[in-house]
Amino acid sequence: MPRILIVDDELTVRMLLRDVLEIEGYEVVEAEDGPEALALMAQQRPDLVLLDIMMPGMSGIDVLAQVRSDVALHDLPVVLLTAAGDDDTTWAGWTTGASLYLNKPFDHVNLLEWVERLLSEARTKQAV
Amino acid sequence: MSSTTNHDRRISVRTVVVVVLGLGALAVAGAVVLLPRLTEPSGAFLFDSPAVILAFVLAAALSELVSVPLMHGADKEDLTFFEIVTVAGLLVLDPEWAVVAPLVGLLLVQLVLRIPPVKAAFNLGSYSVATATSVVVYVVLVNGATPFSFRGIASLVVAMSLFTIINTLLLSAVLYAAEGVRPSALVRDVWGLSVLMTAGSIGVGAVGVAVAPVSPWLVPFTVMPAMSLWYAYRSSSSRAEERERNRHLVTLSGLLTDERPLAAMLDDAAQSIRAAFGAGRVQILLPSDGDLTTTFPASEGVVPVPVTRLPEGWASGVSVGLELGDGRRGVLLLGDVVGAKRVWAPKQSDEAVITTVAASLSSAVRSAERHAALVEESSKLKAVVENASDGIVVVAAGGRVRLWSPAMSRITGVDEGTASLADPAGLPQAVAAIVACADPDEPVIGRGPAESLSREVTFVRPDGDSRDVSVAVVRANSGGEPVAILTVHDVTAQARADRLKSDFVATISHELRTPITPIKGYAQLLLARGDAMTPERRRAAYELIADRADHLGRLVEDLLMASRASGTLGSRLTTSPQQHDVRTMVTTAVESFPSLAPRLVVEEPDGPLAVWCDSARSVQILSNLLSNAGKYAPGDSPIVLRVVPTEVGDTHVAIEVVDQGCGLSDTDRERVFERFYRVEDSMTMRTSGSGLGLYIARELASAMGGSLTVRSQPGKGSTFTLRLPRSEAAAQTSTPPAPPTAFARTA
Repeated sequence: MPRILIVDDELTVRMLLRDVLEIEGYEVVEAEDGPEALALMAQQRPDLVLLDIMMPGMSGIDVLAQVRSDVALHDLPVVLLTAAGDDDTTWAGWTTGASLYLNKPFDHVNLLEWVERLLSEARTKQAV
Repeated sequence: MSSTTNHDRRISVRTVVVVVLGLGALAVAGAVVLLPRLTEPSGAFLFDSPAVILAFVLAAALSELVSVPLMHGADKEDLTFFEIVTVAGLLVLDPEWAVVAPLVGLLLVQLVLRIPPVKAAFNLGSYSVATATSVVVYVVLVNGATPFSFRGIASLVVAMSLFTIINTLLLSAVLYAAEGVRPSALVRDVWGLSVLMTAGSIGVGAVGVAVAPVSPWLVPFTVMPAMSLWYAYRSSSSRAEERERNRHLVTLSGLLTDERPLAAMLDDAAQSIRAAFGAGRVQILLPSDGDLTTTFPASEGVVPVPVTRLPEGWASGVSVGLELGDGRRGVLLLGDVVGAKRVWAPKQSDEAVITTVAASLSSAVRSAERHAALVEESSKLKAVVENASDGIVVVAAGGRVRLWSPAMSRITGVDEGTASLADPAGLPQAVAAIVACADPDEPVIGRGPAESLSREVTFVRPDGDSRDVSVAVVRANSGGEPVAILTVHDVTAQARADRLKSDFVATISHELRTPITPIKGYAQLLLARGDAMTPERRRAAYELIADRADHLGRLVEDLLMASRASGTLGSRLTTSPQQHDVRTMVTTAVESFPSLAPRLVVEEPDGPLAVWCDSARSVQILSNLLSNAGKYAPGDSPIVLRVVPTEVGDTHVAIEVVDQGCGLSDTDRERVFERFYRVEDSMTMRTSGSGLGLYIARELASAMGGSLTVRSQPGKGSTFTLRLPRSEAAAQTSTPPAPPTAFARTA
């Protein structure tokens, strides 16, 4: 089963995402902040990352930058999921290499569709 | 010669006159005593018959009546034929009578003419000294020779020269006392005329006497030389007068073209005009001195003024109109005061000159008034530029700063000297950034040269502060060169407020979206996959939705209250303060945290303690503090709610909430009251709390006239202190400390 890493400092958001994804059969791991997320990714590469931007210490953009510069992880699908909707952050997200940029609160169906699509694209790429 | 002066300075003049009079008396007495002992001049011409003596007296008197004025600066001298009479007397009369007769005549004429006593005394004294001395000298020198021999004439010349010299010296003494005229200056002025007069007097007097016995009918014709002498005096004196007047008029024209304040110019002009025309008084009246049209109706040229319309103290006067432009008229008055010996009136020949002087004066007054108006206008403008709170900059071609108002120095921290430097490369960034707005190549929004362009500029002051300004540019033409006039308005505070506001908005939107995410998420999840979820899962989902909705609700309330506190919604926090017992409020607050009850220690006074506050708000603050203590202090550690005992004179009551949690770092302590600031604690989960609680609590405390402060040390816990004001009367009492209760008061 595809393994999805959720990174968000808000407990309620992590709970929600876990419930939404686990019901669909995905395996879910959680991280509260950037360093924890990177550590988990190093331990075992997830199939997809749902990444919050506004976190204390290392922001989601910083994490993304790290991921993209890591040879092992650089083509990992990363979805930025954030309540910050301003233009500067959006631009930073896209230019740092987000696979997708979604605003909170997200639409349940929309999120699941995108997760599915990104995972199958990654599978196709890997197969090649 | 007799002299008159236009000024009355009697003090030292009196002394001189008294001295002269004394000398005169002495001289006459001496002469009268001495002369009989001396050898008389021989000849058949000496008479002492009463008729002849009387004739000489009359002649002396008459000679004083025919006078020609001679000006010495501001003084007037009258030249008379007294000397001629003296010469004739010397040749014809007994020496004693030669002294006395002319003097008697002089005395008579002074009385008839009502010459002021001081002047009369001086004249008499002076002539007495001169006459007595010269007669004595003549007799001594002649020593018995005949009057018309060489010796006789030579002695006459010496004697009359002495006569003139003595008179001149005594005149210079009195002029010096009266006017400060230096004797050397006077002598220089009069010596030529004096020589002429002495010679002339000798000539006319001696020739007349010589001719008389030969042909008495020829004597009148000897008047001819006298007449030519008289005309010579007159033209000399009128030339001298003319010179004087021209001197004054030149001074006057100098005054009128000078750039001076109006009042000073008018004073000096009046003086010069007075001296030039010999008037006793001169006054220049302007429209500002009152309505002149009734007193001095408009007319051409020099017009006599009736006494009733003249200023106080004037005996006579003439007026000339002054055209001051815009239909305004002034008046130039020339006249004399009551008590003047001879009432002054302008000479016919002077009237044209006076009219010309009036015209020049008018134009000078007009220019002075224009000048004053310009100065006032320019100083008004200067005041506007100096005092405007917005900065004003004038930039000429090439980016050169022409004007850098004081407000600019204040806004930018750069003074005018530095800003006006010629080298644009040397200008501080603050100046360069602003001056760049004047660049004519910058596109101008709007039509026409008068449209202004406004730009926002941010710069850094030399002291490191950054400022934001709004610069409006207007292009103009100054003296043929194109300039840009910049008006600089400091919007730093506004810009800062705007930035804070947008930060606030950004933070709020994040804070609001966060709880909505699980509300919407779970609602959608339940709808889509509710049947696939276990009952426990579903229940957990419902609970979370409810909890987050709750949180969202509280967040919205807090945000509204915070907005009100910061005044962004236009109304401040309203409180309804009344007198309340602290203990009541403490009880209410404690009762809303039943879960904390086991840990709570309440210390409060036994009796009521009055504070002046809004009870609901105070309870809200205390609840917030208790809630924080519960969240940030672990497990079972006690939380103390203490009402600090008061002293007499304490203006406030202090209520402390003390926890033994992890405490606050220096940074946290400084920022803990900020909006949305939540202390990061790895041990607690950041779920609830908007970060607004303490911000609101502090604003509420301030609104009630109190305060909220914190003392804390990392690892040792924190003490939050709420101070509420006491009423006046209550401040006069103190409360005794109460023993701490080990257990919380139960409901």
